[in-house]
Amino acid sequence: MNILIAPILSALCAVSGDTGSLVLQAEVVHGPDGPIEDGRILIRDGKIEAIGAGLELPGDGHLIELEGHLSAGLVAMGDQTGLKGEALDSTRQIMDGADLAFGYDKTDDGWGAFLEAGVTAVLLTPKPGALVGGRTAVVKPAGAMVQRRAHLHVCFSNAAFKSGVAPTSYPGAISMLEQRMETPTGGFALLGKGLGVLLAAKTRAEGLRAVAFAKRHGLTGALTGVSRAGDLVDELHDAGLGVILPPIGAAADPRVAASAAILGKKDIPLAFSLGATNRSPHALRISALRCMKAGLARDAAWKALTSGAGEIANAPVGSLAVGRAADLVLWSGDPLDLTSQVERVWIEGKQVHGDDDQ
Amino acid sequence: MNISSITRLTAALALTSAVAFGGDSHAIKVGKVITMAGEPIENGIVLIESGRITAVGPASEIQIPWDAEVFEAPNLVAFPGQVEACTSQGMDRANESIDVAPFLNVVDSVDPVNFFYEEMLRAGITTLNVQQGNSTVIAGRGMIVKPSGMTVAAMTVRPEAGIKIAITPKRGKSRAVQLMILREAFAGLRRTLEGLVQEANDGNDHARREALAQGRDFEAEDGKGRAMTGSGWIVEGLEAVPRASIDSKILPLLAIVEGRISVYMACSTPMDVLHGLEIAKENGFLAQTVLLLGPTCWKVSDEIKAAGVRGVILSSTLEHTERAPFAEEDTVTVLPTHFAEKGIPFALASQNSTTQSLWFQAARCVALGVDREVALAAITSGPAEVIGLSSEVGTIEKGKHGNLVLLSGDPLSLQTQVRYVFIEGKLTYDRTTDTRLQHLMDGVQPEGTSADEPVVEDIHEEERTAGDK
Amino acid sequence: MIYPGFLISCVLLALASPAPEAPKPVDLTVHADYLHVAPGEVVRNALIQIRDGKIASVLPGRSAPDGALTVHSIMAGMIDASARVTPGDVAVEQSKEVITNLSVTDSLDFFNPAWDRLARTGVTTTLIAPPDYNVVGGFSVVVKTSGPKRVAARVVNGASILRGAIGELPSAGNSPAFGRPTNFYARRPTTRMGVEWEWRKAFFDAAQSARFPDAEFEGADVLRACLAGDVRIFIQAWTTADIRTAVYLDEEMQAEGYGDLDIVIDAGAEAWKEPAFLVRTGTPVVLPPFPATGRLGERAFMPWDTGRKLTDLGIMIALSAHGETGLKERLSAQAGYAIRGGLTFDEALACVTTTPARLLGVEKQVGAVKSGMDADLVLWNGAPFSATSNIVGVVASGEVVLTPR
Repeated sequence: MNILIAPILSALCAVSGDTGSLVLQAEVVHGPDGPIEDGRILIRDGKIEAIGAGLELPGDGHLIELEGHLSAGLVAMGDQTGLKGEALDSTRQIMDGADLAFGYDKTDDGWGAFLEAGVTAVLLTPKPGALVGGRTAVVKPAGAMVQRRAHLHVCFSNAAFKSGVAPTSYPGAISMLEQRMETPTGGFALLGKGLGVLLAAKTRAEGLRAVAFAKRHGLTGALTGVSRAGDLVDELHDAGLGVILPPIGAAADPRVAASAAILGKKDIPLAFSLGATNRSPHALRISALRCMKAGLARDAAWKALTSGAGEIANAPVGSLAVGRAADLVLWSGDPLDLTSQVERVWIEGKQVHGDDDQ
Repeated sequence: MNISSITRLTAALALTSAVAFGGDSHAIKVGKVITMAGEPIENGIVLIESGRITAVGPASEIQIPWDAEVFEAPNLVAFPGQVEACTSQGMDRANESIDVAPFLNVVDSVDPVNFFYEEMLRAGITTLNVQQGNSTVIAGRGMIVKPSGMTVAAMTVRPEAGIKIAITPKRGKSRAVQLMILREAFAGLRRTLEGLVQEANDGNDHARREALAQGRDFEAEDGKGRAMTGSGWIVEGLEAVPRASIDSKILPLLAIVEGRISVYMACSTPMDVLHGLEIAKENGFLAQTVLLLGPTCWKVSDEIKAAGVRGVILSSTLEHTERAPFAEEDTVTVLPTHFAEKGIPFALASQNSTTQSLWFQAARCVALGVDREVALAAITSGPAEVIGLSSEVGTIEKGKHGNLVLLSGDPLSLQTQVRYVFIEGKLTYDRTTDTRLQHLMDGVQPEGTSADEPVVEDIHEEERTAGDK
Repeated sequence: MIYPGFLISCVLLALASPAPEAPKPVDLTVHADYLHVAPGEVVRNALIQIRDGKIASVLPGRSAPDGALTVHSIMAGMIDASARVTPGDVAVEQSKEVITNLSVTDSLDFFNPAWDRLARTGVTTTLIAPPDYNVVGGFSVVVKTSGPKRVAARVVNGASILRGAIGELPSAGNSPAFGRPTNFYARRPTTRMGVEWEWRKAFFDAAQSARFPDAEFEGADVLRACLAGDVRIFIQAWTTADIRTAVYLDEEMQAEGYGDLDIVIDAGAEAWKEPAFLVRTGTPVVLPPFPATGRLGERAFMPWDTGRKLTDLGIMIALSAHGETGLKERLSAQAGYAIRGGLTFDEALACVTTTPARLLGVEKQVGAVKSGMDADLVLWNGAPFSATSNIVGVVASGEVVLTPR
């Protein structure tokens, strides 16, 4: 895929040079305050300078009129693409100083699929195989590092236990974490000071323990991996945490999607993860649609794919707000219609995917 | 032979000699007789001659013959010896590696000194249908035995009393292959019979000469041909073939198709039941089929009812609990109640002698809402019917075997003990001499057996007594 | 069997006096022909009124009002002092041989359907222990089997109970180190004697730490509390050899002047073999389920009259299902088997209600059907524990968790 991207990148650099500005116009622009018919987005220096229906074309501007819907790129949470062997270090149980950013490989073959699916930001997380697996990072597919240290990834599921290494148990794990919180050093010391916490769990009971841990220490961040987190809605609300839901495929337990609807009603910030490497990034939209079918409001589902996910990712991604990087996707129709295709993708104002026919 | 089996042997010999002098006429006089054929009789007498019950009635109405040995137990309750409708225990090994083996016979596998029979006797079970295990396609021929006797011959109540057919796949097989082998067995039988008829019609008596060369008996019925009967399929002209010239390896299959031998059909899932009923119907043995049902088979109870099989035997699981995918609640099905409500008579099966024996299964049925009479029948007359022996065992009635259990109280009470068991009029079990039961009940080790652990001296004894001084 | 006097006091007053004016309507009314208030106390035609999860009143000689649940017999919700609803080995920390500062509470999953299933067998209160893969596995916890799926809502404040084991299990997963040891399983005990040594070392070190501040170590405070009798210790010991070891441990601590351990033997299958040990230390026993063949875990043998024998010697016993929930193994069945082995009905009832309540230190809250106590009821369609009776209904903290059909 990256073989394809390279020539496009060079071609587009010529069109929207560093000094000039670009105006994109589409039938519908999904702005931060809702859809705008025949909306325009003014981009300068890779950033969004203005959004509106009747934006004037600046003198140095170049207008591209597009058919379809223009929206912010989607944000995928919890993925290990581009990390290859770096997603899990089995030599120790607590790696609060490890930055996943150092494992990021922008040349990975897998990134093309993200652009094809309209994903312009990805939260890289370690595999849940250690108690503290490291610090997460937010990247753009085959592109820039957006946020080097987004969260400390703490695992409350039994996946963290290894034979013959402490801890071997839930009580042991919690006790170990509590000890580190008593006199915090390294990554623990940064918690609450710009570093969020990503609480990985599988079962609801693990989720409750994770949320209680965050609440005890006043940590912000999100719970990830608990498919039926809806049953923990009160605790999540109290602790002010978001939820990253696992991918919800066609065969998934219908209670998982119903769970998302429960969380949505209580305004718990939501996002979707891809769960595992090699999972098609299209899974994001499928998950959102299943949740909508189960009662999650359309706005909430869209937010979970974009700006809400950006907030949980602790990085300036997923939104068309003025001043943000111009990471945009042109869809052939409504992005929440599964038949809509990704036509083009821009990252920081540069088209990185799709035809350049205009 | 180990020490315990010697103990058992001597015990058995002692019992044999104890009852030998009494002659062949017995009168058992008890506080109550639960006959399972009509109302219980208070202060009843059961007369047994030559192993058969000759009279049952109130003491006031029964004349005890002058030569009868009287067994008087005014505080005890007589109950029919219970009937285990199908078991694969008490054999050398339960399963044979050959898929289709109806030429085998469990008579060669039943082990008279197996503790299993002792446990069954202790629980008051006096008739057992022993069939090969479920890991088979078509098993060897099973037999009905009583849990007493030192040889298989002495234990035998009815030889060749059925064949196990498993619809649930034998270990390692898929259902597709299992059913292919099963159908092919019957198709093969049909082809062979047709071939024999063709040969006979062609004037070729190759089969007859082969049979004679093998030394098979051509006397009496076996020397003649007989037209094929049966409700499934018929090979016309079989009367031209002397039965003795048919290979004895397939004769039992012919007996199945002609409806002359019972089939115990192992079905662990509802789909097995449906396949099994279809095969039984095609091959004409539906009417003598008994279904051994797994816990989920209640789901096809309507089909079972409509098929008209001879009986069903429930596994020891009486309550089936399942949870539908993505459901929040369990669904519990009470199996005996379900079958009772559907009007399908059932027999119960026991797993072990104490906690899961037949009487306990019946008690659990009552607890789960089954009518008491239905539950008691499911361990006595019901299984007798299922194994085709209802004229012989299962109730205390004139003409039947003198199989009685003398209980200390209600047959379904936890506090009731089996005190004595009579089989064909002979006192076969006496609780007071049951050392192994005593070990289980009060920990007293049977004499002559090894202690579990050496007695250890109290190492602190000295310190403590020193302290006292 | 000894019953404390306080069990009789307050509720008899409630029975005698007319129904007090209810400050608010009751939430649930249940009626039984026979109410087993507590062992030895039967009330005929009893009407039980429940408010806020507690028993508001017990009224004798009443007929069932319209809409009330009505059954043949009612007794208190059963208490299993050896229930096993944990996620398994990840519920006990094995990186140290003796764990005293952790609790199994942090591993419990109240979303597990096993809780509902257990509740429907009539068990409403349980002691959940860390699994016995360690010498001392940490604190056990008393929890209700039903209610909100949250730790805070389910934990019952009872005695502080530390859990450990003697016998095969604590050493089962370990192996001697060959070459260079790679993990702690090579360090842990691999024999019974190794397990025993860990127990004695733990308490010896704790006693030393009380005398010499330098000898203080993590978790020593809990062990000192055990020696002071403030923390009860449930020790799993199947065989008579292991029970003897537990008793010797207690006696050794006394002889050395270190303290007096408050031990309860769990899974004490062979307590009948050398009961004198238990009599002289007054150690209670939780019995495992009665086996059909007499044989149990770790090759222990438990005859069916064990309950009778130990009761006659004045040893306090509780019955347990030890994790079994099948129709024939569950706690209510165990009471039936104990009766088959010679216990009276009231003794068997005590073994699944009042006695385990005392062992867990929750006797003021659960174990009897008296006003002010938790509304935990087991509803039977006949005489409780009879083989022909079934549990048809269960009420837990005033909520109907199994509805009579």
